[in-house]
Amino acid sequence: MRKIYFAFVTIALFAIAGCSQSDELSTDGGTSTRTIKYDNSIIHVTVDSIVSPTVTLRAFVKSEGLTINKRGFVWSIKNKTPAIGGKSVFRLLDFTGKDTISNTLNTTYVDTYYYVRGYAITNTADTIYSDIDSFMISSIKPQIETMPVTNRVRIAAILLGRFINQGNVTINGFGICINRKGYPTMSDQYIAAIDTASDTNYKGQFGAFFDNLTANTMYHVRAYCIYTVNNQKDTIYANDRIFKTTFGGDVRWTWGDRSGDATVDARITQAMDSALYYYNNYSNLYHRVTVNYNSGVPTADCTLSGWMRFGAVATYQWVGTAQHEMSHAMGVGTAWNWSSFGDPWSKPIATQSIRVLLKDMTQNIHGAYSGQIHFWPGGINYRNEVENPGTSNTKGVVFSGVYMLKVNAMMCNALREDGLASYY
Amino acid sequence: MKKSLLYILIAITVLSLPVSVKAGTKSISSLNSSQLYPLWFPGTLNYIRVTGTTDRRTYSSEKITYGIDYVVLKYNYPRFNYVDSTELKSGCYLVQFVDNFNGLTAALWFGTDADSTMETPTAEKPYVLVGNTSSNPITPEGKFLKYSTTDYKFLATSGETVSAYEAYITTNVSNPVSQIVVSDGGITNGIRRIYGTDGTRLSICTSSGGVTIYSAAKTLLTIYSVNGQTAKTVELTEGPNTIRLPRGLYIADGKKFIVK
Repeated sequence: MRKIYFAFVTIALFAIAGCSQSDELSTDGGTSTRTIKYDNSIIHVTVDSIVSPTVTLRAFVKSEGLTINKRGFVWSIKNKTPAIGGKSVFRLLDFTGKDTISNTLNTTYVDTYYYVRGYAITNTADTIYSDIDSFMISSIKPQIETMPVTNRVRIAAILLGRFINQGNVTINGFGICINRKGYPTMSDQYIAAIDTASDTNYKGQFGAFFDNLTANTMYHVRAYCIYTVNNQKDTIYANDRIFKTTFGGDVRWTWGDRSGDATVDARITQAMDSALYYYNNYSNLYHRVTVNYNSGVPTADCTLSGWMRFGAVATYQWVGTAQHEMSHAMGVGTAWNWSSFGDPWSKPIATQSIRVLLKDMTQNIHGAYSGQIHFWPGGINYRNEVENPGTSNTKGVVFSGVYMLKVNAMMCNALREDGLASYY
Repeated sequence: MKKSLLYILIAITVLSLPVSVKAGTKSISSLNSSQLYPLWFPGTLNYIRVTGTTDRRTYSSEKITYGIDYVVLKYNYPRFNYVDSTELKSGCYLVQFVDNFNGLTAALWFGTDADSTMETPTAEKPYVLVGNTSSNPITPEGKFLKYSTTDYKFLATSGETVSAYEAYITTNVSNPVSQIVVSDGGITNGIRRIYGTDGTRLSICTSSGGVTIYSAAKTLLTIYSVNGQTAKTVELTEGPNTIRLPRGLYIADGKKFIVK
């Protein structure tokens, strides 16, 4: 008989490396109250603490008159009297002869009873089980909130949500959905968010950039979250907020000094007209810009009042440069309070915007300090931020082309919403 | 003359929400777009004007448009539904403004067709939105649910005052729910979604001899037989609830289910 026990334990020892919580879900009902059966003549087990998903088990072994070689715990979610082997999971502990043993159990299931027992294996290969303790961790569903829409422009908006509580269930995805009739769901237009912020200030926030909206139109917006509890998926929605897209920006430009070269003038005209398209559709900003050609200007420049100059280098007679210079007219590096925002940018609207636009919730705005007159990312300080290769986030995702031109205008709008002073 | 007297009474009203009332209008200073404004309309809502600057545009007592700048909800127990702009007669509503108007001042202009008739709770509709039609604060009897301007939901209370023209939820339930959230709940994948009497989200799974209902919070649910008679009213606790029912076809919150 002892040999049989020994063989059984040996098999179990070999099996331990492959042990996983493969138990089938218990269908037993009951309350969430822990039940304890006392039978502590030799070994008594107790659930010491439950800090979801970790449970600390403790067992007290009365070893008088016995030589105990091994001690441990065995648990099951199917078998109410768990035993080594079968569908139970067990864990061997110390061999040091302690009378009290303790270990942690990382639970996988919620709303499910776990049954636990301590055991001791004697020098004669007898296995002695303790009484049974049981516990259940109740599921806590995630709680989310739709945040105010603060960066909304003529045909686009940055829409945000946040986790109030991520609960103790598996979160499969989250994002933002919108419609025009109310209570949007994932059956309407939705965009999955990439990640949540890991920093202290913005922890739990997520968002999406919605483009190609209709101007001056109300939209309903809700954050959503998909989660799984015990292999069953569900979707929750946050509060319904409403916002409207705006009438857009009112930025216009006129010629000051032309180059006298029709090709150059046409190139600058195209650059300015394109820049105005983005500033009037992707910002709510106002300005009157006078554009000049000056061969003595190495690249291009612009004042807060809107006096813009293009130099002779054709590479800079380009929409990206025009937008970059336009941002100076909007206050970037030129407003009296520019350096007061700090590096990284200390205000929420621009910070949230760049994180959503670059799909990376660890992004920050840099450059707002004394002596520096540009911002990044999104400032189009170099042509390669837009073209070849474009702008990368910290996860290696690349954004380029028209998208970065939209990002620039949306960011200037956000900087101004955060309080960047203007010329007017 | 009587109307003038009424308007004078209206004019001296003060709401605890940042809403003041004068003849034919309600003024809301510093709009908070995160909250809803539960109000009794003392007449048809003719229009709303706003003052302030937003999105680089200045509004100077400018009329705003229903469906673009604001919307109105009505409590059709157990849900809050958006109503059409033609339905804004005297009655109890929740007004919601776009985020764009956060911090602006709004003035609501009403007609003179006041209707102070209030709906009363019934067995089928135990929670209804009613309003204080008086120009003075009142203290409703017993327990009721008052809109919290910090939690953005209706919270059960008693003994509190309700401001002039403020709307609140009254009930005939002796032990009412602790809160009512303004939402239509959500949809679900794989589980049938229904709602408790207070709008709490429930999901229902039928099984042999009954149903298991997962509830997001403590709530009540009435289950009807297919011929419309009440089969059972159950008090659900948060989490799974097993309910025994004889074989048959049942209806809960308008959804049919079969117990085999």
